[in-house]
Amino acid sequence: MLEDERNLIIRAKGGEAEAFGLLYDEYLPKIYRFVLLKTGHREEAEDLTHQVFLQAWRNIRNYDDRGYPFSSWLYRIAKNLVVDYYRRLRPNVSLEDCRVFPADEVDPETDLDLSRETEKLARAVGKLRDTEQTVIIMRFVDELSIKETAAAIEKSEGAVKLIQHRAIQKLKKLMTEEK
Amino acid sequence: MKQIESQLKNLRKIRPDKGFALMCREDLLSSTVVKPGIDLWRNLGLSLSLALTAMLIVFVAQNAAVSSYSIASLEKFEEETTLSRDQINITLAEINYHSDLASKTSMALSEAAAEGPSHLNQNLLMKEAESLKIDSAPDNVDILLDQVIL
Repeated sequence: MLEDERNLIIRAKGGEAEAFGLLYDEYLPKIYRFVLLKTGHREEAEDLTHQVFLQAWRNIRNYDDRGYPFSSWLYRIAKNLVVDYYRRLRPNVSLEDCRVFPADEVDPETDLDLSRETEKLARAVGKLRDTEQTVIIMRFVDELSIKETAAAIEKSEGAVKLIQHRAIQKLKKLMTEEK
Repeated sequence: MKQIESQLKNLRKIRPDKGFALMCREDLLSSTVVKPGIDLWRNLGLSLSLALTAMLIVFVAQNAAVSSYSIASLEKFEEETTLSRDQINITLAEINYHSDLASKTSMALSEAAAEGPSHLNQNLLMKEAESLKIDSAPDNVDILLDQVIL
């Protein structure tokens, strides 16, 4: 964790809104991307992202940086909110089965400049199991380290490496099938 | 593998809408956050715990005080009762004494009033002495007394 970030967290914990605002600026794009790729729906992603930061701001005093990085704490909130979102959406359907990234939800106004290959890849990511999607997004899209990812999904670093390897193999297969 | 990774990196181009980002930021920072030290529920819970503990301590202390006070009171009452009983006994004895004294005085006074100072009459005293005949005691009285003593 950067020293500046540590200071911002301390100030935010003391109730300083501007300090939390700077943390928000830093993490908003990553959290939004994560939620969008998990839900595949821009408006839902915005609502959930807003909730993530609202929860973080309200509970920042409970954050303790000894255990895991601040980013992992935010991703953990985001992950739980996405799980709740899918539970509310389809209470009788397993999370693993219901998530498919809908390409037609990608809005050109969101500065997306995805090539057709990348769109295909995004759809393929949507077909992965929930934990595999999470690991792929965190590791390759949001560039979290193995340690941060492990902390965010509450698994060991070894488990993250294994999930990542399995997910990449699945993506290769899915991309080949798409062609 | 590398190709997939580089394609995944393209997804980093996804950015939130600027309008949304600004609106969300303003909303967040204007929302009230409970500052340290004034967490109502935590403080309320703590206050309740302290109040209950204080009440419990006061209750226990009161009971203990009442118990010790009761024991002390009983002991004091017992002592006072004993003292009162003794005082009553003493008073009764005094009353009896004074009553006895009064009746004897009354008798003596009645006797004196009836007979006058006759007991001081020299002639009467002489008569009484003669009637006793002290000198006419039997001769063997010393022998009899020795027998009784030995």
